[in-house]
Amino acid sequence: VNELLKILDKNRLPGNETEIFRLLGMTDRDPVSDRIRVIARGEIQAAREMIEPKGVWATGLLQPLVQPGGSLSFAGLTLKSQDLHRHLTGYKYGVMMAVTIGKALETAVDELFFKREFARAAILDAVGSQFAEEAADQLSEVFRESLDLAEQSLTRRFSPGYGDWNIQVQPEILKMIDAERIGMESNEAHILIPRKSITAVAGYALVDV
Amino acid sequence: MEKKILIYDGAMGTMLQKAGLQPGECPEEWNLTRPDDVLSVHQAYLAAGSDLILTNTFGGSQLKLQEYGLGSKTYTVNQAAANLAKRAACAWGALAVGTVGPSGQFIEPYGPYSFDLVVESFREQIRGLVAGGVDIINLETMADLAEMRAALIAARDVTDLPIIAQMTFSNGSRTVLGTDPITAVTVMEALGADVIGANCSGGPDELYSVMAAMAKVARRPLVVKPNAGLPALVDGITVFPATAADMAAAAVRFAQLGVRIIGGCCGNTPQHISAMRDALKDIQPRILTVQPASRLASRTRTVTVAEPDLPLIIGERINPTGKKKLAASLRSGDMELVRQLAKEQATQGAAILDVNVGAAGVDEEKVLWEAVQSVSGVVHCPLSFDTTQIQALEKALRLYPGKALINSVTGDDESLKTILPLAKRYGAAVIGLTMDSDGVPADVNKRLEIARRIVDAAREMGLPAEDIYLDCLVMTAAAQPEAVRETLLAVRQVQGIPGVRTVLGISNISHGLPGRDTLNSVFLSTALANGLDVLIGDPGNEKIQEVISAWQVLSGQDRGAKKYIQRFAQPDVPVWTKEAHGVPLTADALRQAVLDGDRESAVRYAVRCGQEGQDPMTTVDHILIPALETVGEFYEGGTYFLPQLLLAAEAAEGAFLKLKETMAPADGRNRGTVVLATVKGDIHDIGKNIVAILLENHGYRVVDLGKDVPREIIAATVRQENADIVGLSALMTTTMLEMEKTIAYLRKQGTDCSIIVGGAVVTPDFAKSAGADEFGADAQDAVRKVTQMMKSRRDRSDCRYGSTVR
Repeated sequence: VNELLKILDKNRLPGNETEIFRLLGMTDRDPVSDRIRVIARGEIQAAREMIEPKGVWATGLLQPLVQPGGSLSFAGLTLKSQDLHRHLTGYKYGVMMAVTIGKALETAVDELFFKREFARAAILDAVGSQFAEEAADQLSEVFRESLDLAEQSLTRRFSPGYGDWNIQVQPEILKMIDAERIGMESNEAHILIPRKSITAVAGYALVDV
Repeated sequence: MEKKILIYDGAMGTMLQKAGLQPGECPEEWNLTRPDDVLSVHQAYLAAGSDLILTNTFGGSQLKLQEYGLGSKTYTVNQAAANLAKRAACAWGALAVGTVGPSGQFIEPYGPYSFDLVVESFREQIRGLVAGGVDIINLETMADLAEMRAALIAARDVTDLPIIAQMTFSNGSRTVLGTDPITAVTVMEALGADVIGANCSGGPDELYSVMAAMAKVARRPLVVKPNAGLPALVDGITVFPATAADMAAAAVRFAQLGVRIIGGCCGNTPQHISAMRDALKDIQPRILTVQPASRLASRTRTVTVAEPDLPLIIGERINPTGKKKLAASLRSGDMELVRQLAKEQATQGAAILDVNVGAAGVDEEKVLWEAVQSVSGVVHCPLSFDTTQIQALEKALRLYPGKALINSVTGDDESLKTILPLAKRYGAAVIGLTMDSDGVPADVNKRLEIARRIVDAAREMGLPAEDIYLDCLVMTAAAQPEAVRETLLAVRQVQGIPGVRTVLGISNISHGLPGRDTLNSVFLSTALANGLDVLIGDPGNEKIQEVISAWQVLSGQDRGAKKYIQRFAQPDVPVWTKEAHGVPLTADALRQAVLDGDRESAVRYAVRCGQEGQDPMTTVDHILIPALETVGEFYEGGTYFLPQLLLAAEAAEGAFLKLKETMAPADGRNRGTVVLATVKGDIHDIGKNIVAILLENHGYRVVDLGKDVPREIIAATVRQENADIVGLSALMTTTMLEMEKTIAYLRKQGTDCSIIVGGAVVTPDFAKSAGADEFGADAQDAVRKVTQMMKSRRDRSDCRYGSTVR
């Protein structure tokens, strides 16, 4: 298992507005009023100031386990999920990653609620979710470039909670890649702390394996 | 068509692209420059089994061709296209259909084009199509009801050929400008479309609900031409996912629904059509029998004159007679008061609004249409145009994107000859006054004779009896006591004419007498007993509303007296929210500030409500809460989203806090106590926070325990605060289990509170199995459910109280 810690470049996170509005329940087709767009842009800017995106990854061998239900082993850790199994079928290597944008944003959200600025609070929260997703994308990209992988030879990332992959696995993942280094932990319900954090696995194939 | 389901063709544009049409090139120009390629497309569809083929003229309107500098060739391009289609169709014994698509821009006020410009653009196109020999005219892919009206009017101006009219819908429910399928049917039928339906849109699944809605009301045969599924962009190319087999299966479903002409729009190829033809080969057309009905429509709403809503009210207050303020504002062109009156009457329950701008110094031709536009901008109600000025009437009828009611025609020849053709041409219904040039006959039989004359003349014009609303005319009781009986008899007798509706303006009965409300309401109840369908009156009049509520119970329309009970359970609306001297009201301004999410204005108007002497609790109950309810409706209806919902909540809270400063300490509002918590282990609280805000705004006392809360603390708080309701939130499957345990714990502790649960992963089934009383799908839904729970709790405790008394 190789381990790497990356401080991500927050200025390269796009802060995709369409996705942020989607997180707020609006589709591309719904008109966004100027006022709400202005609020959202303000929150995106504010969020960029306060986030500290960091990521860590570890790579390892993927081995299918002969077990009813379909599981696989990743560097000794058993990943119990048929959906994940399907997602990674055919890939020999996996990369486990953890990303967080830090705690400051969620504190700011709480403060906004406390100050009764509900709309800003909800929008900032959505901005945080989007930045976390984009930070994970950036980490995947950094990883891909570090191995000089072609775009299509890295699968999309798959997180606990997707499909039938139970989030009970979170503590083991965090432990395996020592995510404490970037301030991540999970609580008794296996929820990640800080909230705007993501763990995920992706499969990849090296040329000529 | 009676014997078999007719097969339409598939897409033209994509076929031409395959033949080499370049992006930016005008497809219609190929009718002149590459006729053989167009012909091949027609032949491919005919070979695949199309019974009708569309000309290559989707973008063939003058306005659309202008974009390619071909506007002056409109006639020639369309004629050539018609020639090609006709030539191809003849060889196969099929029909050539001249198609007309949208002009690419919306009509005023949503876009730059004037209505008349669009009509002229379509006319030129249709002239070319007719000259080229098409058998049928097809109007398609219209998203704007105004534009569909323009196309129908243009087609009827040019030709008597059958017309197929198809609109395009989004999300299987409404067009982008808000027209629902039933309204589309109502307006297209009124304007003389022979076959109606929908095309393009999201694909067969989306259009299924549209066609199902249409099948319930359409009196004309139905047509559908869906896209081959929802298009997706793959590698920069638009891809339609539905296969030929998918479309064939969809075609069978449409046939079973009663659709008689079936084809495909974008993404459909001859293979798709051929598969549809094969699938429909042995299916007999289902001939729908839909009873005729009396309907009026605005762009966004259809009103049906039928039970259980009888009698309907036509709101009469937009009428400057005897109202100096309104007359003055109409003269100055200021429509604020008109909008105000429209909103009030709509809220008070008017189904239709009468618009009359006749006053000295008012240019009715200009002002009537302005008033109609202003009213249409703020309410969904269909309108009645009340004017004696023919030019003013014609302009409003022509431009109004709906099916209006004309107020009115008389039995006089001159009137019949002027008004009825307008009703026919512009697809309107009409109020027929049972009087003629000799005045109002005293005798019932004479009135009946005039009624027959009006209905017969209308029928000759092609207007059905369902579009005639007979007004047997109310005389003043003080002056002509014997005439009251005659009017009532006439109302009863004209119903012998099948299909017609009856209408009366009731307030004239009490003219010149004191206690007018009493006379009006007794007269109304007698008229209702004699079969009155529609009344013209003031929807804000409590007495009239009470009579209507009572009548709906007594006539069996209000089953279980539900509406009646609701009405009398509500405290009266305070008088000061009604119109006051024609000034935009503080109450309305406050309401608007909440709707706009404008906290600053909301606070300012809340202060002003106080300065005007209103009791703060009344302001909360009659303005803030109803405004938030409207916001909730907008949210659930998909016009507001979370950000707007929260901004409105901020505004309402600002106003509420301001009002609270002036409330007596005991005068707190408390509709019940709710304890909220995100369960132990779960640290997500955005959703729960939003629920808390909305509940507080709606007058509940909320004890918010925050996130990650152990069940023991929740139970202790419930006891301590004497809570009525507990709301639990969980966002993860892992914490849902804790939710279940918390509920079990609360029950074991013997707490009497009701429990509601919610959160991303929580489902109604889970809520039930976990032992919760209710499930909130989102924050807005949670508020509604809490309100219901509180109500049933109150009902239960009322029962308990009742039994002790006994």
